[in-house]
Amino acid sequence: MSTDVRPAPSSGNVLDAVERRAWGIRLPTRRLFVVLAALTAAVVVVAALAAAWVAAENRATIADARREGLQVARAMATFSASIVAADADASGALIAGGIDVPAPEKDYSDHLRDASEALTDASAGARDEDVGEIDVLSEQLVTYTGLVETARANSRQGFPVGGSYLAQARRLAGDEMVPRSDRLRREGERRVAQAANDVAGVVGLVAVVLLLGAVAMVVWAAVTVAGRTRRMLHVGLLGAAPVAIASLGVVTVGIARQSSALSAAASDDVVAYIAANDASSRLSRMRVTEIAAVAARGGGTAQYDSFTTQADEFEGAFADTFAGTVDGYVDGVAEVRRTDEEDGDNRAAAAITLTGASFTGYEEASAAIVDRVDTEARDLGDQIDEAGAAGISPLVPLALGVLAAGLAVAGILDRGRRYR
Amino acid sequence: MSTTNGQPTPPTPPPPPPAPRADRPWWRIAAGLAVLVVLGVVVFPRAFPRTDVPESLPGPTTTTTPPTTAAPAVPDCGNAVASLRPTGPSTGSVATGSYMADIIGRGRLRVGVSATNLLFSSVDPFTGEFEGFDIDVAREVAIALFGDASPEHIEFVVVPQTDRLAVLKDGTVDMVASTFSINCARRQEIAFSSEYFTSGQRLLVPVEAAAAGVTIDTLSADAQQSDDRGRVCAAAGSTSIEVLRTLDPAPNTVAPPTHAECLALLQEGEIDAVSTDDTLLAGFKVQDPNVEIVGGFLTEEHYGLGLPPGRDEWVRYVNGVLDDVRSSGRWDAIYAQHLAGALEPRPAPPAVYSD
Repeated sequence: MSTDVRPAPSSGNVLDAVERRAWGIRLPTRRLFVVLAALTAAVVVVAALAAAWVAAENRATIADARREGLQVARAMATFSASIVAADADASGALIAGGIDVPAPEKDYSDHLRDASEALTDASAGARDEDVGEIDVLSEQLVTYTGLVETARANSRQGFPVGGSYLAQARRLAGDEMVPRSDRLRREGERRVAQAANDVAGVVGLVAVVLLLGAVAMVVWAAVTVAGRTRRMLHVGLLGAAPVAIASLGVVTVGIARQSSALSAAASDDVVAYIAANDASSRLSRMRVTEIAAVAARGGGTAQYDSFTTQADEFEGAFADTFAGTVDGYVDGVAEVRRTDEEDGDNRAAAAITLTGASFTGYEEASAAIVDRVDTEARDLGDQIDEAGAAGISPLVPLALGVLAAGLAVAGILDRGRRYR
Repeated sequence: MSTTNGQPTPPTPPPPPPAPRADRPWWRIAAGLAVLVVLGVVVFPRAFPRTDVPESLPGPTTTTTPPTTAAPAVPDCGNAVASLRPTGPSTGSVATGSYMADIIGRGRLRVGVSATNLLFSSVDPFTGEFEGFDIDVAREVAIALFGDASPEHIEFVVVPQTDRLAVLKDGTVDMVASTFSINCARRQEIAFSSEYFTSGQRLLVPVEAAAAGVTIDTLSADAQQSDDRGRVCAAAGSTSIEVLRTLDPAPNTVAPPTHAECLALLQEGEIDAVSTDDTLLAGFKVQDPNVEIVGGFLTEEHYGLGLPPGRDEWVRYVNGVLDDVRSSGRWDAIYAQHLAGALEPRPAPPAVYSD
C-alpha cells in the first residue's frame, strides 16, 4: 500500500511551494505513521515542558510575592504602627510630672523593639531598590531613639529643651519615617498584586495554548490514523488524549487557583491587614493629640477639637470593622477635657490621661485593634500559603506529557507496523 | 521520456488541478491554530481577571519654610512703655461692674503663660506646677484680688508666642505674663501694664566659641564666606529674627517654631549661636552649662503684662499691684529667687505713666 501523491499546485507563495514539496515526498503509510508519531510526541512534550516551566515559574513568583511583597508590606505596616505608638508613649513624659504612671518606658521600649524587628524582617525580603530606603529608616530609628532619650534626660531635670527634642523626634517620625515606610509598604502590596497578574499572565497563557495544541495534535493524529486504517479505536491514542486533557486541566486549574488566591491576598486580605494597621496608627495619633492637649496646660482647646475630629474620622473609616472600639476611650478623653477646661485642673486631667478612664479606654481599644492586626496578618499569610499550596509540581505536567506522548507514539506505531 | 523493456512508457497523466484552498491542510492547520489562539486570548483573561495594582506612594516630602514677609511699619505711639496710672491701692475691694469684679465673681484669674521659658515660666517636672519670675508676678495680682494665689484662684493657660495677642482680644485669658515686650504695634491691639522687667537681645554660643571671641560681628562675617557658617537661630515670627535679618552684614539665620528648639539645634551642632532676649538665653544657660551669653545688647526690650484692650480700670488695677510689688521689695525677692546667678543683678524698672 502506498500513499497517494497529491499533485502540487502549479503556482503560489512560499507556503504553496512548501506544500508542493511535502506532497512530492513519497510517504508509505508506515513512514507516515512514524512521522506522525514523532510530530505528536514533539508537540506534546514541548507543551509539557512549557507547562512544567510555567509551574516552576509560578512557584518562584509566589515565593517572591511572599518574601518581597507580603513580608515587606507587613514589616513596613508594623514599623509605621510601632513608631506612632512609641511616639504616643514618649509623649506621655510631657505630662507625667508628679503622676505615678504604670510602666510607660516598657511600652515605649516594646514598640521600638517591634519597629526594629520589622526593619530586620523587611531587610530579609527586600529587593535591591529597597535596601537604601531600609538603611535610611534604620538610621532614622537610631536618630529618633536618641532624640527621645535626650528629651527624657532633659525633662527629668526639668529642662524645657526636652520638649524641643521630643518635637524634633515627632517631626522625624511623622514627616520622614512614616511616609517612607508607607511608600515601601505600598511597594510590597504592589508586588503581591503584580504576582497575581504574573501567575495568570502571558506565560500562563502560552502554556495553556500549547497544552490545547497538544490535545489537538493527539486528536488530529487519532483522526488521521483512523482515516488511514479505517479503524476508529486505537488503545494508545485513546489513552493519550485523556492524559493530555488531564495535563491541560491540572495546569489550568493550578494557575486558576494560584491566581485566585494571590488576587484575594493582594486585594481583600492586604486591604484588611493594612486597614487594621491604619486603625492602630490612628488610635496612637489620637493618643498623641490627647497628650498634646493636656500638655498645653489649659491651652489645649485646638488639640481637644482635633482629637474630636480624629475620633469622628476613626468612626467613619472603621464603621464596619471597629464600630464602638474607641467609644470608651473617647468618653475618657471627654472626661479629661471637662477636668482640664471646665474645672481648670490640668494635673487631674493629666492623671486621668495617664492612669484614669482615658488610659483604660485607650488600652482596651489598643488591645482590640492589636488583636485584629494579628488576625489579619495570619489570614494574609494563610492566603499566600494557599496560593503556594495551590501550585503544582513541575514534574506533574512533565510526567503527564511524557505519558501522553508515549501512549500516542505507541498507539500510532503499533498500527503502523501493519503496513509496509 | 523513459522506456521500460523497450516499451514506451505511457505518458504521465496531467496533474489534476490544485485542490480548493479550503481543502488544503495548511489552512486546516492555520484554522486550528487560530482557534487555539482565540480560545487562549479570549477565554484566558476572562477566566483569570486581572488584579488591580495600586499606585506607588510618594516618599517623604521636604517641607520648606515659607518666605517671611516684610514686617509692617511700626506706628509711633510716643512713649510705648507709658501706661495708665493706678487710682489707689489694688485690693479685693473692687468697683461693682468692673473687670476685676467679673474676675472675682468667676473665682479665678486666667493667665496666659509659656511652659518653656525656664526661670520665667516653666513647669516643674516633678510637681507639674508652674514656676518662674513671670509666674510669681502674676500670682501677686491673684493675691491682690483673692487674698491668695492658690490653684483655685489662678489658672495658668499655656499660650503659644504667636497667640498672645489673640487670647487677650478674644477673652480667653485676663492677662498674659510671658516675657511680653511692650511696643507700639502691639499697643494698637491690646493694653499693657507698666514695665516690670528690662531685657535685651544678646547672643548665646558654645563656651569654646565664647573663649575664641565669637560675636555677632564675627558670625556675620563668617556668613559672608559660606551658607554653612555664621548660622544664628531665633524663633520664626519673633522680633529677634527680624533684628538679625536687618543687620548689615547679616548672619545666616535659622528660624524654628520656638526659641527652645534653637537650644536643641545649638546642642546638635546645627547652628553656631542663638540670639534672643537675654532672659531666655539665661534659661538656656541653666539647661546647658556648655554655652555662654556673649556680646552686648542688640536691642532693649521692656516687658509688661499683656491686658485686654478697652479695660482701663483693669490696667490701672494691675499697675497698682506692680507698684506695690516694686515698693514692697517683692520684686527683689522674686528676682533673687529665680534669676540671681543666672542674670547680672538689675533693678526693677521704674513705672512710667501717661496720665
